Amino acid sequence: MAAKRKYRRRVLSGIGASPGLAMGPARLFVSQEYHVPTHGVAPDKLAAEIKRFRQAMSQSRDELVNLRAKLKLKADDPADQILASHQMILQDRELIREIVMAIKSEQMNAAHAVRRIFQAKAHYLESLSNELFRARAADIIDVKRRVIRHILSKETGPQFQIPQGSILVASEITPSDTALMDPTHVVAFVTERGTLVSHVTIMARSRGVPAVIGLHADIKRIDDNVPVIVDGDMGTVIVAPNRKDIARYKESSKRENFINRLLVDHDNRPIEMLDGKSVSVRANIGGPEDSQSASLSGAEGIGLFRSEFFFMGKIGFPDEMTQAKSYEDVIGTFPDAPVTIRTLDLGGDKTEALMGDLHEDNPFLGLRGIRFCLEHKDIFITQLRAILRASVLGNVRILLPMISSLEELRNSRELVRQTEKQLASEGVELGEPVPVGVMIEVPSAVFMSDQLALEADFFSIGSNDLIQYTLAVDRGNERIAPLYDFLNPAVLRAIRQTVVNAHEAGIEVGSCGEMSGEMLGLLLLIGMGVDEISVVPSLVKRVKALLTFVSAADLETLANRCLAAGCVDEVRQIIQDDLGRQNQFSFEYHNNRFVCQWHPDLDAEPSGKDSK
Amino acid sequence: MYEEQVKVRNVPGIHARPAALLVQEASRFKSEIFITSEKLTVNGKSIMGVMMLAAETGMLLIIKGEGPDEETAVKSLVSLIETAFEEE
Repeated sequence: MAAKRKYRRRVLSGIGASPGLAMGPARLFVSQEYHVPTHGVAPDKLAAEIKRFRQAMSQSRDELVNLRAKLKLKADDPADQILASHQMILQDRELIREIVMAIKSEQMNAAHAVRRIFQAKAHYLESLSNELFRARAADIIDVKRRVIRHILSKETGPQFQIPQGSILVASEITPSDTALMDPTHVVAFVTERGTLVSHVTIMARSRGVPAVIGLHADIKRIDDNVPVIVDGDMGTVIVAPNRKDIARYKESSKRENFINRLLVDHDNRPIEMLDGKSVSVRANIGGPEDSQSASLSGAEGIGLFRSEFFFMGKIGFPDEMTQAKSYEDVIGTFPDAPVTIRTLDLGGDKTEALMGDLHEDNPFLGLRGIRFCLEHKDIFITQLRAILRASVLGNVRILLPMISSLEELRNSRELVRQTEKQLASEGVELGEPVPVGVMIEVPSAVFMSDQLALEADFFSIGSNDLIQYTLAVDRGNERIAPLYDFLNPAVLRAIRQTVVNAHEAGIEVGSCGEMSGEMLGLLLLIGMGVDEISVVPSLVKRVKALLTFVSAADLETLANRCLAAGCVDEVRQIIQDDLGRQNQFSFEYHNNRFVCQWHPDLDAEPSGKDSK
Repeated sequence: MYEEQVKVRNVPGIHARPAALLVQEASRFKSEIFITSEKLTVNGKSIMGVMMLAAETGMLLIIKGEGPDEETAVKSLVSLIETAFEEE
């Protein structure tokens, strides 16, 4: 540590773009802006100038080829796709011809011609209203910089030295910047600008290193070589951490290692809690491409497969076979464990563009979820046919979103039954009868959960919408953000009522909202009797590890006390008193958020770590 | 010369990845390929050109081929756009 106490400790806040924790010396990277000279070229020098340009194009291309080889990204990795698209631009013969023409006809130097033509194209894209096309302008600018660098300097330029284990700090990091350094030496990225779709985000996520972006002016508070701690989960950067920060960092990273070790053989089975209660921890996925990471995470099946990806991504309304293929891909990864497919959950804001549906003033209270499917039966039946076809391969479950009345469940079940019959009459081989479950995310479904439980095969609590509809709080509205809180006893009571009614009817109840991935949310859900937890693949291990260190009976006592509380503050107080007695939990307020930290005894062997 | 009209179907439009696929497909043919939108005509074998089209969902495009395999080329590109790049 070169920087002793010279620097003041500061905690900077940005956006956590890639999760994880890292500590190391900051390495400041200043992106080079080249001065592009503008001068005429004598007619006898034109051929040499054109040659210079062509050489720069091919050198840039080679550089990208080498970079891709070095990073060893998979072909479907978005980071690789960006680099591949840059490579294609460098091979664009039409573009090369246009630039050669400019050099020739206007007797212009190569760097100037490149700058002018690339910039005109980037400006055109920037003028468009469609964000996706506007974003391409950044790629064009980046390729331009790479080519100009090669035109201006004969050699590649000095490599930017990054010692192994550094934290790269920059205004922004583009693919052409990464050519000047060894990105594999970077243990975390911190940037002034950037969004969740920027190159740095994609790069950090695919390499599995933390990133905090969007620090704005605060970036200037980080000096070269100062030690920093980057927390990609919280979106914070601690500059010149004190001894306490470092101790906490060490504990956290030790904990991550511990969890990985603890669960090393624990693949895809339910977890057993301290008092022997068994809980299924499953994964939420947004498309077939996530099923691999879900499997590697140790998830016991898929608790929520959002089928909207078909409609967000490249394809219009996909046909039956295309859909069946995607479902089969996921089931193939989990042949024995449940794969829960949630049927189309499109909101009015999306269907307006897709279907020419009428504009809705209030899409959250409009024709969304199951309401849309029952209105557009052709689309719904196509999806049901695809799911039922795929069911022959494994253990598929259908989950109906936004159910707000018993009729909707009955009508949907009837459609499932008819579709099964139709497929059977066509001679299609079907699996076991597919269970049909209900998402509990609307207050009317909570009130009617006793009746719904009699006719549904399982429940899944969608906490995100349930909180929003129960508390009448739009979770996207920053002005009322603090009101959106799962610790509100009204939310807890809604969940408890759902669980009680499900168990009374003898069906399983899961939870797949974000509450399941928050430590306190998780503990309370288990305390209220939820049987299955489903979280994003990156959280599966943490959830499993935490559950092996707590007992279901203790959590039930805690949950019962919270259910009797009058308001959020009282719930927090109860949690602090109750869990605070266990050494493994501590509490703090972070940016006005009530945060629970977990410090397991890393030397202890948990008793209920495995359930064979 | 052979030409056909086609409507862009995939939801985000012909942006990064679909543009690359379109150019790769066009480059397989000997014929010259031109794509025309309301605003401009571009070379179908040029990634930069296809990016400039900024073809969003619902936009009408005219695909024109000139050369020995013009009809096959145009038909294949139309089908790529119509099936909404589904092999991806």
